[in-house]
Amino acid sequence: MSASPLAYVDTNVFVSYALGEERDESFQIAEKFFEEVSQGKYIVLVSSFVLTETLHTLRNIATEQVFKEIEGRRSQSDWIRIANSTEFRKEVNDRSLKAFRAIIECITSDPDHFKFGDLKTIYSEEMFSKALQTLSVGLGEFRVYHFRCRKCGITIDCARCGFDWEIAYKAFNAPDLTHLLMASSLGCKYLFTMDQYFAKVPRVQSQCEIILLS
Amino acid sequence: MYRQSGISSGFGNLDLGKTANAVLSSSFDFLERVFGYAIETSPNHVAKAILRNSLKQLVPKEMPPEVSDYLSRNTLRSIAGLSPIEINTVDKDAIRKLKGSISWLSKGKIDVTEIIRDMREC
Repeated sequence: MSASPLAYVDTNVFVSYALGEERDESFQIAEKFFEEVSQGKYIVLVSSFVLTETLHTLRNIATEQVFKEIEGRRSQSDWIRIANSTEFRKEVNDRSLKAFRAIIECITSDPDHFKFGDLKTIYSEEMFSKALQTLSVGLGEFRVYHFRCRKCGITIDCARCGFDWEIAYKAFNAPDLTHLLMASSLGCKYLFTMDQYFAKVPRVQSQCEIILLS
Repeated sequence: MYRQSGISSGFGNLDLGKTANAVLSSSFDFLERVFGYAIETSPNHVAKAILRNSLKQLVPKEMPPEVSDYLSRNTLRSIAGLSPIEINTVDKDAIRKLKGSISWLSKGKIDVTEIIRDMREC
């Protein structure tokens, strides 16, 4: 096992696999990667940065789920009251922490397949300077989105002005570059991601090869 | 593994041995802070010297990679509110258990890559 290269796994691959086939659209891609890990092709390096992002993602998913479970039309003041209520906060916190614990329980009890960043690792300002350099030389893409209802997903128009589309800037960003430079600092040979924008990060600033799973 | 059973015997109610054993499983850094505080606040020079010597014995200069990894694992478990595990704990089935382990978190199908993308661009 020790001869297998270290693979830094992006948060999307990690969370997709934990969510499973019935919940995430890209699960099968993540599953294929973890099968290779299981066979000893790679050892997964889980950074604290990935886990920080994981917890934040779980809180986002839990918030959306708890919100969707509240039935009926309500006024803005009602929604604000619900959002600020102890019950709502507790429900989101309990569910997301339970999910986080389930993940941590699995990965910390399998040292053959999962390694963690050395707690003594120090990241330099130079590393972030490289990230800034990389970000400054390229411009991302613009994508057009139709407004959608957050609850049911149907496309909608603005009730007042009729606007129904928006243009959004899409590109790799500071968190992507931080993941990549950290992967390199932690001695990873590869970085696996399912995010097509992340995969557009130029490799020049890192020793680590980005592999877009698809 | 780094248990030093006799450490508390000379300090009565301080019970530093128990404290040390508890924190060793999660972080040597934390242990250093505990000892640092004890050394700083102890009025007795002999006690200070014993504490300094104990700390040297407990914290190895060069930590083997497997111990470092073990400490990282237990630190994570501690953050998540899970109990510490033994250094030789190996669950060969953990990858399979991870698969779909949190499917209950959402009722519908989601695109987690897109969710994370949006988070990163906020």
